[in-house]
Formats: sequence, structure tokens, C-alpha cells
Amino acid sequence: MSSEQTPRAPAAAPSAETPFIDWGPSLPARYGTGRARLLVANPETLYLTWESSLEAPSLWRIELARKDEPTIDFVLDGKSEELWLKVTPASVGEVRLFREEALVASLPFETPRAAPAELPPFKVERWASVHADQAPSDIDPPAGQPAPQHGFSVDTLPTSSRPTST
Amino acid sequence: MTTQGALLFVLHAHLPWVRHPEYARFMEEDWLYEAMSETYLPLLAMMDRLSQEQIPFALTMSLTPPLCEMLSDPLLQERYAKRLDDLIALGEKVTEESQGSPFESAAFEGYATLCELRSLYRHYQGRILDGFAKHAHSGQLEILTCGATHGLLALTATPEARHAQLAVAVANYEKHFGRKPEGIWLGECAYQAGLDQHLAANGLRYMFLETHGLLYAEPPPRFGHYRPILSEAGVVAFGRDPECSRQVWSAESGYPGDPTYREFYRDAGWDVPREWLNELLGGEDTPRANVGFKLHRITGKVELHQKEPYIPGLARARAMEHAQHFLQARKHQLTELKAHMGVTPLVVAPYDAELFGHWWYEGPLFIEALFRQAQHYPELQLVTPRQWLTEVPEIQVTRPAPSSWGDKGYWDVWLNPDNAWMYRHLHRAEEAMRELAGQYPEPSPLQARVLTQLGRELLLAQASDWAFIVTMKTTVPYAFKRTRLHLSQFAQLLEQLQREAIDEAFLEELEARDNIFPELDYQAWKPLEGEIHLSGVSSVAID
Repeated sequence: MSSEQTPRAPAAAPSAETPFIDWGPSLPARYGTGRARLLVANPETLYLTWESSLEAPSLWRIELARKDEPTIDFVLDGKSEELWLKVTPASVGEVRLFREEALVASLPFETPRAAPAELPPFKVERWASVHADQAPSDIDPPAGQPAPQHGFSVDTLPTSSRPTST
Repeated sequence: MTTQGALLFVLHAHLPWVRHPEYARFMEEDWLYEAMSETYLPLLAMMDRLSQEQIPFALTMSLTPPLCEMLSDPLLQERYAKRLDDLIALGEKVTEESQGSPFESAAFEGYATLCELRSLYRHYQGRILDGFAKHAHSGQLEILTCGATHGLLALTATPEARHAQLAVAVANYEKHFGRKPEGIWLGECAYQAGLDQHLAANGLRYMFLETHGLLYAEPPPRFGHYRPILSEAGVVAFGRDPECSRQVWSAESGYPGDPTYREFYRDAGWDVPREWLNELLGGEDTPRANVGFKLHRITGKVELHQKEPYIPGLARARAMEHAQHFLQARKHQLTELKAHMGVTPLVVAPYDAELFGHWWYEGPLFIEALFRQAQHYPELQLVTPRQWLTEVPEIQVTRPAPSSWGDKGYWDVWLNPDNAWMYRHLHRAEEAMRELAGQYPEPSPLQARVLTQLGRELLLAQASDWAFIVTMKTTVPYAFKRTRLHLSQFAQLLEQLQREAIDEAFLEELEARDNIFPELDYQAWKPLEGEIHLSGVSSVAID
């Protein structure tokens, strides 16, 4: 694990022993079916959480695989079921979850960019034309009548049809 | 369009569903009552005045489904009417007491304003949505919807849950306003790639994004955030202009911090004799609290006890000056932009509606002055999204970038070590709901009631407000309690349905208390044909 990849401290688990969240009725500690999830929190942070249907504690290994970057491993004991992972903006990769060295889940991710995209090498723009089907004044229904529905339609314009004066 | 540019002024009006019939008085219900007196009624009064005087205005407002449901709820309407009466009674006493003192004009202004609002509330017979609908029909107000309970769609696990948040919202809008919505305010402006497909599938044709939702779009839009863009799925995205936001929002230089304006934190609830507050606070023994009647001005960076008397006339004049300043700034901004862009720019100025009136007492006056003075700025055209898209139909097709208007621009506010525990349970409930909607195509009437209530409990638990409150460290116990309560009720109902042992008394209790969306159709969660992939969320079965 490189120094840049130190995971954040895990969030407190929702247990009755944690007074800060002990408000309201209790929620299931476990759901009995195995599930792994990966959420993107921001361009540099992923949140991985999982639950195994197996009761026995397991040795978990998490592999963070990113395109064009070295793979990083995290090894956790059987109690922990979540991990915050540091990544780079606009990166594509996969988080792999291993139990006792057997692959149990592969979760793809794509992080948002944190800067404008580069302009394409040759400038091709796509334009469309949006049409409001009905004016708002036309959609006031007569008393007792259902309102007519309205909306927009879109036509694709040729590349050259860019706004010039409006 | 012959002007230098256009301004699209958007207010996002939202409160989470807070309705506690089980208590005679419940503190968090005050969020609604305060916003009614300070924001929603003053904004409606403003629109009524402008309309009567035939002064054109173009305002875009989201009225979220929970807010619409609360505004049309008879119990909350009745409670608000009583609260307004009690506040007016307090205002009358304070006004009498203040005669001849430096607080005389502040007290009278507060009292007279409340009396006017009560007349307006009675005029609409408590149904203030009718007032907003009236202005929407005139075309001067465009009302947006939002996710059913302001859920943060970018952090949901299943496409069905995202679809349900939108489908329930669309049906609710139709119930309240008699037609389908065209535009949506995504909860927290939170966008992830793929959401546009859900919006399009629900007939929603435009949305609002944070600035970098457009600036970081791929390929980069030629006009940055000064023109809307069109997503691949055919949804228009309008981008927030940071300059407009700064002028109003900035804690240091924003208009609301002007020393002339009414001080939010110095409230008569802490100053008047305690016995005057018995009705408002629900008894003699309850602790003092803010009641929404205020007599001091901001004054400057001084302690609360050093605040000086509020002078309404000066504050009104200041609001007009600020409106003029805002319009001048827009005129210069748009003139420069047009010279640079060569086409008409659009500046989008979105704000939380409750900033205007609740936090910034003179905010509605500012907006009214803005519309009145805008008539004298031919260079600047005030537009709604529909007006803009009708007049300027050409639009660049590009992919909006993942973004939100929260701190740091992504989802940290709603997903961090303090609130991450919520998602494991929310996602389980989402998956269960999808499964149930597939399992029960023809339920018995009792099963249908359970399934409908399960949908309500899930939606209520999904409100982004709870995770937000936890991060902001405001009413944290309440946010935790609400999340756990709805998820726990969901789990209990689910177990009863699966065991075929439905406790009807329990079900009735929930139906009476969490009675949001009576029109709800649990089939909104039925498994979708063809997966709509959302970037940023992966979920797989293990073991």
C-alpha cells in the first residue's frame, strides 16, 4: 500500500454500542444474503461495503485495479465490512473482493473528472434544435377538462447549424 | 432575441416530509410553519401584486412533492392557521408594548405583515398551491418537480428506485397542478451519467446542474455554462452561474449580511415575557425558542445583545438598492459575454427558496424589486426555461458531467463516514421493493395496502435531508431517528407480508401517520426492462 493510498478511517458501524447513532428503532445488523457495493463519493474517493451470508469471520482482501496504474491490495480481518479507497479523478477501474483468496465480487468504477475535458483533436460539435410543442397559454384546461399534455421535441441539426446571431 | 442576454431566476422550495399527528405540537413541524410565513406566502403575495399591477415577471420554482403534500395537508393547514393566529397575537402585544420605543416601527411592521399574510392565507382557504398554480397557468411562473422525496438519485443502487422517485414525483405533480411537469430540480443538483435516461423516460425534459456539470461536460460545450446543453438522452441541462450565487450567498459579501437587514438570530422568543409565549410554545413549561418575530437589525459584527432596533423603511430601501445592483451587474456581465460569445448568453441564478424570507427577511422584497426594475433594463430579458428554449432552440449536444451543488461539488455531503451506514439499509430496501413489485402483480386489497405503505416508507427514508443534517450537525437525532424509523417500519411490514401475518392495526397507524402520496402505485418499482446503467454505483451478489 503506497502512502497515497491510505484508506480513510472506516465509518462507525450501525450498532447499538455506538451512542451517536442510537436514535430510533434498531435496524438489522445483517440481512443474511451476501452483497457488495461500491459507491463513488467524489473524484478521489470510493466507498466499498459488503456483507457475507456466512457467519464465520473471513480474511478479506481487496484489490484496487485501475487502468494504467499499479494494482493495490488491502487486507482486512473478518470484522470489517467497509473500506474508503483513494483513487484519482477521471479514472476507470475495478475493485475486486476476495474471501480467503477466492474472488467473490468485481465492482467496476469510473470516477468523475475534476477538471474540464480536453477539446477533441479536431473540433466536431453536435447541435440539435429543441421545440416546445405548445405554448403555456394554450395548456390551461377548460373547467372540468383534463389538461392536454405538452413537452419538447428534439431534432438533430447538421454540424454546421451552430447559433450565429440568436 | 435582441437583448444582450437573459436571466433565468430559479428558486428551489423544499422541506422534508415532517408531519406528526401523534403529537399536539412537534418542534420540527415549525420548519414548515416558519417557511410558510417567511417565504412561501410572501412569494405568493409578491406574485399576486405583480400580476394585479400587470408587471411582467418570469420566475422558475421547484415545489418538491413532500412540500406540495404538506402544503395541501388539512392537519398541517389547520395547525399553521393556529400558529399564525398565535404569532399575530404575540405581535399585537409586542406592538402595544413597543409604542414610543425605538422598536415601535419594527414591531408594527412585523405585526402588519403577519396580518396581511393571514388575509392571503384565508383568501386561498389555506390551499396556497392553488395560488402558485394560478401563476403557472399564466406562464409567468414555471413550476418544477423534484425526486419524490428529494432522494439523492446518484447514490441509489437500483434503476427501479430511481425510476420510482421520478414516476411518483410526476404523478404527484399531475395531481397538484393538473398537468405533467416539464422540468426537474434534481435533489441537490446531483447528477450522474445515466440519470438523463431516467428523466427522459419519465417525460422530464430539462434539469439544473452545478456549473461544472456543464464546464466538465464531454466534449466541452462551446459556450461553457452560459448556454444550456442537451444530453444524449435529449434532456436539457441548465448550469448555475457562480457569480450570481456569490452575490447573494456569500457569507462575507452577500446581500443578506447587510447591517440594515433584519437579524435572524435575535428573536422575540428570547426577549418577551415567557407567559406571552405559552400558546406558541405549547405550554408554560416548554423552553424558550425562536418564534419568528424579530425586532433587531444585523447592525454589524456585534454580539446579539448589542443588536440595534430594526428600521423597516431603511431595510426596504436597501433591498431595492441591492436589486438594482444585481441587475446592473447582470447587465454588465451579459453585455461582456455577448461581445465575447457572439450569441445571446443565458445566466442561470438558482437559490434555495427559503433563503428568501426565512434566512433573509427582505429576500422577497428583493425579488419583487428585481422584477419591477427589470422593466427598465431592455438589455436584459428575464426568462423561464420554456421561454428560453422556445426562443433559442439551437442547443449543443454533449454529455453533462457528474456533479452536485453540495460542498466540494460531488456527493461527499451525503456520503461520508458519518452517514455512510444509511446506504447499506437503503439499498437493501430498494432491492426488496423491486422484488415485491415483481412478485405481486395482482395483490389482495390488504396486500396492496402493505405494498403501497412499503413504498412510502422507502421513499421517506431516501430523503437526502437526513444524510445532509447528519453532516451539517444540526438536528442530528431527528435525522437519525427518521431514517431508522422508516427503514424499521419497512422491515416490519416486509416481514408481515412475507409471513402472511399482516398486523392491520400497525398498518393503519402507519397509513395515518406517514400518509404522503395517497395516489402512490407500488408498481413504480416493478423491474425495468433493459437496465439503465448509472455510473458511480456498482452492486453485486456475493457468496
